[in-house]
Amino acid sequence: MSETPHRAGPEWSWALNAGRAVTLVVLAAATVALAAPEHRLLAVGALAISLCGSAFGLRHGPDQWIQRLVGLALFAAGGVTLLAVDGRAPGWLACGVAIIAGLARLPARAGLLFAGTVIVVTCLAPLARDDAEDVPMMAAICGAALVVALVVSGSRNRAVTAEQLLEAEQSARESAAERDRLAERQRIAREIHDILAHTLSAQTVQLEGARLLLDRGAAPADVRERIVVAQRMARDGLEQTRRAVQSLRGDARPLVEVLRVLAADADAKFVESGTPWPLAPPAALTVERTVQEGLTNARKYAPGATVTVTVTYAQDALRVEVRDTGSAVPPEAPPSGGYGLTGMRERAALLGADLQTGPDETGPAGKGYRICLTLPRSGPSASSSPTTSAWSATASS
Amino acid sequence: MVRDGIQLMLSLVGGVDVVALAADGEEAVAAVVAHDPDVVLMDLRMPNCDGATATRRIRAEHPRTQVVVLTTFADDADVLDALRAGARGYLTKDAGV
Repeated sequence: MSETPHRAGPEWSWALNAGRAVTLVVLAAATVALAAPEHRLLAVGALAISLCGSAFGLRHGPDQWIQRLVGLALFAAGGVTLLAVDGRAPGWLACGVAIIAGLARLPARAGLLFAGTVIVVTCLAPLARDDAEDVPMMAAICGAALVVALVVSGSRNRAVTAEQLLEAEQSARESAAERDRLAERQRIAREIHDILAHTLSAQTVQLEGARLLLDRGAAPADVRERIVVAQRMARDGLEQTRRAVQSLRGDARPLVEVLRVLAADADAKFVESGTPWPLAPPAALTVERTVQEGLTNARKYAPGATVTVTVTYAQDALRVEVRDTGSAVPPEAPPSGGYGLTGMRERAALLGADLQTGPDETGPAGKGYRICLTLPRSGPSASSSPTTSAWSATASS
Repeated sequence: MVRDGIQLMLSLVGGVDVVALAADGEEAVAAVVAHDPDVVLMDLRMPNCDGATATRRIRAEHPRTQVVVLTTFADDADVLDALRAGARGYLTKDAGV
């Protein structure tokens, strides 16, 4: 920012000061050399006033324009005095510089007023020594000074516009970064809520149930069941937390990779299609658990069957299917109704997903089993948390 | 899991019969029509039809049935929505019986 032409940074300030010093020395030398010998003392006095005014004005920043105005007025007064007394001394130079500096360094209205006054006084100054012939020359010098001032102000305006554009761009970048930070924070807050708040409150309810059962002398098996459920929820919450942390760190394994490994470990075929999109950790975990449960069921109830895991990322939904060709001998118990399938169905419902399970009539032998989970990409529950408990109980006393 | 736990707790309290369980707001409204209960314990975030919407429908169609909201955090903004929709009050899920 400080490198823009009109606001020299510290690295350029010494050059500016040196330039000013050289100008003043040249002005002083010219004044002394050119002024008539009888005016030399007065010329040096006028020059001294100019120098003091210039030094005073330069010490003040843009906010202190009145001090700048005073300094410039003193500077111009020295020049006008020289002009009024001696036609040869370069008083016109100080007047010209004062006009340029006034227009460039003062607020617009004050600058115009100051420059106008200096122009009038400069043009009239030769009349003080009865030299009307110098008036057109002074008017020309003032005109030249105005042209220089216009050029300087034009380049300054361009620089200011460039600086404003840069500032606007910077501020837009900063607000976009701030927006991203806020969105990221909200995502983290949502994930913490979805995982921890849900699993912890569910455990609280289960443990409260276990305590009530104990208080009322219930059978140990009933109490144990509640504790086992609470324990399973704690493990589940821990696993989801681990995955959420992995995902936030950006080192979570892609779901497709996880499913491919699961299928390979179970000697199942793996078919994938479509372009994967990122899933929230609870959703990814649900898909993984569904496939795991499907593979376990297939091994248990259809030993020796060919099992295929199909993952399809369609435009609007992710579909995951575990299909087996059925065992040579009918299984002793049907796979439906076990806790695994019930748990899977509950998980799916929480995500607004659909879980279809049942005999696979379309298979080659027509005796296989099929589990199919369809997870909408932006279902009705997309705006709400995917793992909050979906339940309500109606009661009458 | 929460629902089963609450059902167990209510059954142990005595004087309360749980007449129906619902997995989402739609099912809750249907269960109210079928069973005409005194009280509905309503979760807020559910698939298909959220707690506030279900509460509004139950209060409009069955003013006799009172709705009590169950929430994880008492300062959840959704609690206010449900109370505006006509819920009688709210309980946090960690409340003991």
